[in-house]
Amino acid sequence: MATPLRCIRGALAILLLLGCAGGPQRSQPPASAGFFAPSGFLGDYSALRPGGGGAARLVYIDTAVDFSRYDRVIIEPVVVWKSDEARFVGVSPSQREALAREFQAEFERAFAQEFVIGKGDPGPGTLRVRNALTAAIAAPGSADPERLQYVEVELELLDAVTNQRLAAAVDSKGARPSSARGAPQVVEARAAFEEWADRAAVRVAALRDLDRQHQQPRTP
Amino acid sequence: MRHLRARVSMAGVAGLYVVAAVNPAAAINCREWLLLDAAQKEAAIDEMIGDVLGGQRVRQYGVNRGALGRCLYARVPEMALDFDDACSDSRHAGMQAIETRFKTYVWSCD
Repeated sequence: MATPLRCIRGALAILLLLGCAGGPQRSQPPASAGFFAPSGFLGDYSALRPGGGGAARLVYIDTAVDFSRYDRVIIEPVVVWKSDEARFVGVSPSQREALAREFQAEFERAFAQEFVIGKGDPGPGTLRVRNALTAAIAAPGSADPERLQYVEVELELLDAVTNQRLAAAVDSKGARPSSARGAPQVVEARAAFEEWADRAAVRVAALRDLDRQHQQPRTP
Repeated sequence: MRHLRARVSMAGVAGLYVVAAVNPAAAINCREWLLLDAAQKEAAIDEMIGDVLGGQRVRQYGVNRGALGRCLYARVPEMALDFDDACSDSRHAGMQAIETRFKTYVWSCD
């Protein structure tokens, strides 16, 4: 006899199957991504999913990829993605570029501890990292571009030779002025960039090490 | 009832053997997973997390490795259910079903 728990799980499985039924490809993130409005930098957001509690806002990983073969990385210059001027309130164009360079430096520092940093010519086993600063809103009353009310970034990992997307993420810190309640939280830009860069480098290294270890033969 | 207990016990022993027989660094597959009881499943996931955190290079990042580890360990029960689901769908449960789901946790855990 089916238990109530089994019935619930069965119903959930059916709902999941219905949800996964083929439909038109979307370039927008799923509705469950909440208030997120794509900047456009990543192009196709349809495969990105909410990261869950505490995680990056949107994430994607191609789980079929063998990360063990990657030991070099090319980090493209961080782009200031100017899809909407409202995303950069209170931060001048030169300040945006300075923030982008800072973000770039953090990525180079973090990935250099795990990968050989390549320049130009991509070869086999090379990752390409695309990053964009997609929002930076100054903290109220602050002229210091390092002190932000809201900062948002997008990241994409590609195979440098084939351009296949291996992983992607969209994340933010702080609150947009429209959604902030009470006194806005101040986000220190450098600390945010450092944290994002370290997280990305550690996770890519972890995936690489996982794949390397899983390729070892089993022992009886 | 005794027969049932004996069978459960034998399955547990078989499950333990499977866990022990698997190289700590090797991915567990669905056939092995489905032989495990709840405690053994959690132990298997703990071992997978250990593989991720124990990588020679990842070890260099004490603070960030710790953060990744805390996040992954906090999600062990969720992962166990998720892996059950992955393995219960016989049409899609390939040899890498658990590994692919685990990779998603590694990439997204924060």
